[in-house]
Amino acid sequence: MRIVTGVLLLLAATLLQITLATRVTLLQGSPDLVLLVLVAWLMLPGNRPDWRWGLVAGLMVGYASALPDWVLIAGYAAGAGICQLLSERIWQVKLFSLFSGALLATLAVHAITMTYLLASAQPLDLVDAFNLITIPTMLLNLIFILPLHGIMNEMSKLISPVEEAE
Amino acid sequence: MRPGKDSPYRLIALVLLAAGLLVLALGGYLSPVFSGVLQPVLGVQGFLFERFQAIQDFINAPADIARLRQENAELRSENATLQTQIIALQQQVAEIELLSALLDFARARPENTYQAAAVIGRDPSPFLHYIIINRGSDDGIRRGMPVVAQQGLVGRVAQVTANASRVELITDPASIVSAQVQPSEMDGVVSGSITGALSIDLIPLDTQIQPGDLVFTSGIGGLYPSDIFIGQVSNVRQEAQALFQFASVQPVVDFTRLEIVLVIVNFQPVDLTPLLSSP
Repeated sequence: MRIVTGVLLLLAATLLQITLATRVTLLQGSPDLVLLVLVAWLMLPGNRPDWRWGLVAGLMVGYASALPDWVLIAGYAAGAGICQLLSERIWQVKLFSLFSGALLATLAVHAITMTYLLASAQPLDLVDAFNLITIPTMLLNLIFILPLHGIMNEMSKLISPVEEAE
Repeated sequence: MRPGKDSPYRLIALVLLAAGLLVLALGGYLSPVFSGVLQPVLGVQGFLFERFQAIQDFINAPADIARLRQENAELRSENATLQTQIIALQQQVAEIELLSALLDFARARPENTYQAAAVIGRDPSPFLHYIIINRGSDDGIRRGMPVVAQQGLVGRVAQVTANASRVELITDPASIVSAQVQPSEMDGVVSGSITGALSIDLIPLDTQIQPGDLVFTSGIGGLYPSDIFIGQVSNVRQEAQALFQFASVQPVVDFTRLEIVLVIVNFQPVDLTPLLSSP
């Protein structure tokens, strides 16, 4: 049940990302809804964080994006891996790990994307990319992660109250 | 003889009295008397009417309130329906205006065949500038076909599926368009950037270009048809050691508000790859 719910959530997030989230912009950055759902999902109480969820998210975004699939799969898997690591290491401070997860996962996805763009000889000004895309995206992700985590927490309680009680 | 009850004198006296009073009343001589008598009567009548009305309102109020509430609900519902209709009509008007503008654009270039498509999404990565349209290979869309809006050039089809296509915007960092600056008629290359800004490069130093000059596609390279409006030169930069001039271009198309685009389906882009890759 949790796997089906997770896949459906990521699918819905991908659709919302393509249609809606890309229109919410700050400078050139926009919130990465799929990454936020992934981080919030991995940090849910009762969920065992698993970096392989990043593969699923990367595959979905890769289908919609012009970037090669492997770039996004690697980016999101790295993001999920960071969340897994944080969740295991600093599990006592949920809020801190949630914010750190969103921040570091965004950095990981952007770092891998920028590395690919540079490697494929596409014109990319790293300073502009960091100032105009990465920092605004990180800020938007930090703003959206908390309400999204709250919503997903409530949804999780509704969907599987028994598992929650356990 | 005393006059009895039925005495004619009494009757005559009464008639005369009545006639006299009538004459006095008509003459206005009795007004002070009437007003003096009627004033308290009217006061009492008003007092009684107000009390009666209050009692009647008190008795009928629940029924009236229920009726008013029902009417209010009906009017609110009707208002909401009308508001929805207004919004739908406004959207239709905007869509018709847009389609009309696109039709004008298509009519101005009868040599091209167009396929209209709606923008249904954008690339999830903020590093790339791509849109997704709702027409694919089933509608005759092929890779490399140019895409325009009513104002000018949008980009070209980068990837096609059966029912959707991905369009690379001219603002994408990887996009390169051969362009010509008017009125100097000098060729250059318009390229995008991660910020979405356009710039034109490779313009010889001895060419006079200035802000306000218009930039069109030149058709060189065979990727785009010629004479499609791209934008306007906004800022010219000449560096001391540079071989060419560089200028910023303000795109004519607002890429954040793209809703409907036209794909030029009868344009066959020229593939120069075999020539470029020859040893």
